[in-house]
Amino acid sequence: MLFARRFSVFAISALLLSGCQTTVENKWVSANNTASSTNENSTDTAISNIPALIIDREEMYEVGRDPYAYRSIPPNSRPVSSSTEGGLWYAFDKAEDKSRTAGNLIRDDELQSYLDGIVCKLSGPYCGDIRVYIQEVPAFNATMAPNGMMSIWSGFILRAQNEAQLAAVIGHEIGHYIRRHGIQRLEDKVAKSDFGVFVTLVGAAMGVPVAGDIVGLLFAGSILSFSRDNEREADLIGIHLLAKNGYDTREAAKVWQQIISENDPDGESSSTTTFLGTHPSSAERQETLSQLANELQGEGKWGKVYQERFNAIVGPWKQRFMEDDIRLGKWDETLRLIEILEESGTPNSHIAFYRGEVYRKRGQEGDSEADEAENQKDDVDRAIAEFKKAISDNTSIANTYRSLGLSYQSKGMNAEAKRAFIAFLERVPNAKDAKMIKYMIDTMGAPIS
Amino acid sequence: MKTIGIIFSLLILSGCAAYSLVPAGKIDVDSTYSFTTSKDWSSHIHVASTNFTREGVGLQRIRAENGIEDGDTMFGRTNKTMPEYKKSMSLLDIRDFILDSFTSAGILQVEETEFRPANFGPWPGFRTEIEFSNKNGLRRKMMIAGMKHNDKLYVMYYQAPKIYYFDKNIGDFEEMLNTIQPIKK
Repeated sequence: MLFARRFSVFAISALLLSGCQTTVENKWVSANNTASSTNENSTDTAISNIPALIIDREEMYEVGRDPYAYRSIPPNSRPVSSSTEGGLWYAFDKAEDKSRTAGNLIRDDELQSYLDGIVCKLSGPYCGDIRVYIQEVPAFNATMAPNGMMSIWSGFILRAQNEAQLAAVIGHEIGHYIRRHGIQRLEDKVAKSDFGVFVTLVGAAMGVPVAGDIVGLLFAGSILSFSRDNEREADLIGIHLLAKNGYDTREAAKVWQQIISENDPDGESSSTTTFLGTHPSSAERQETLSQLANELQGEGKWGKVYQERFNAIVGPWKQRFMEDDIRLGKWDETLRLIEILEESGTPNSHIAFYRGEVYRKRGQEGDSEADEAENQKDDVDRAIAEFKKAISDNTSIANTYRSLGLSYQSKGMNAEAKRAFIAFLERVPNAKDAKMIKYMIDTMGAPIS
Repeated sequence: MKTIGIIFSLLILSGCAAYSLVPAGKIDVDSTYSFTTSKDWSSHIHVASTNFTREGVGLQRIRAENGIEDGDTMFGRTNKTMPEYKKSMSLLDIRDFILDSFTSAGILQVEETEFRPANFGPWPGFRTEIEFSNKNGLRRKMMIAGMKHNDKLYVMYYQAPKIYYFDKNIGDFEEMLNTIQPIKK
């Protein structure tokens, strides 16, 4: 945070020195800085139809601003360093330097190249301009910085049910980059004499991709959010990129609906989804995306979701990301997420384990005077029931036995606890806590009956 | 003038804690146990813990938590976003509690070498070593030792950069652990 403050002061100075040139008339240089050009009129081949789409849907814009005031960024370009936009890019370049070594960066070649591949497929000529950083943060989010630094949080990967859903959000983020929403937001704020937002924006850039507690990360992410018009435009671009690349466009509406159901089931906003704060309402979004999906593909012409390769590459990560989510202790939200995963085909044994873990860690006592029998149970009883359900299936997670043992132990059912611990050690003899489990088996006292 | 203002603000924001010299000898923790050190340390007493360092907390920090009570959290007692300790927790549950606390603190890629039983003075307890990268990517290493006594969780840990500093002072920390004695009341 200290670094962010120092850097913000520096970045503002750089901007002031730049003389704040207007970016509407911006000039661009080659991204590799080998040649200077003013390639404002480059054709964005991947999205060449987007201006027309925006004209068609001009009614979507709330502020009455001319959406063409900002040209799309040409591929393989960056703004000249003396411009306001150049200063903004410079700030985010520095933030990106930090994100390369961030402690929560997931460095997995297979997952990285899978996501890079989706970005390249969707972004076409912008492939080399966008860099993906996979951050292990248990919350739904994906962010796009003005300079092409895309952060994908593990909480989003956990919630995506197929490749088309990943592509829907990635395409949306690409839309923010191509349409230069970062500089649009900054200039809107400057026009409203809210220049202080830049300090916060750059400060947030320092915090978003790297670390800090979860609440801090979410706060930083919310600062980087765009306006509702920007979000509508990004939705539009995202779904067109889906269609252009043969993905099932219906998945765009589904992924957003899922996130909204999880975080805002009663129409009240939640702290774990930064998207919801500035995004258009769920009803509007549903309607628009569904309508667009029908226009772009329609019955008999739906694209693919690429379930198999998604399961092969992303599937193995889901348990880890789900366990991260459970560790946050946001019990109600996690239980809603588990319900969603249950409906989306996650194995029953895994669902039962996750639900059992929530109950075990929450540890609420039952209400002995409650009318319904279910409410009389305490969480440990519920956890034991879920773990037993989980181990009745041969796809169960080995840790289920450990958690079952802990639950039995907390109920004083030592014989059952020992059996569960032994079953766990049979499956994971080299567990990190194997010595402690053996010690507990030896000291629990009750003989195995 | 502006620069002085910025520097002054940064100094305030840094929240420089007041450390004082603690000479080698016996140190009491929460009226429950004591340990002995053969070196002088700089020490800072918080409400719920005591920190020790020789060259700065970024280079080595030993922290002795006062007894964590039912409903309290690690890393500061009032942080409501952190998991809560429950007095019913077993030593294995405490392992989960510690790892969950790291996650809530935004440190997710924690590598644990081994969570094993180890006496904490006369009390049965646990010991573990973990590694993680901080927000700048610097690899750090921790040894955590603890035990349950009178329903409270007592934890001591030593944290330092993995390269050079951890090995440099781990012996000092182990000396502290090996000299833990209950305080007779």
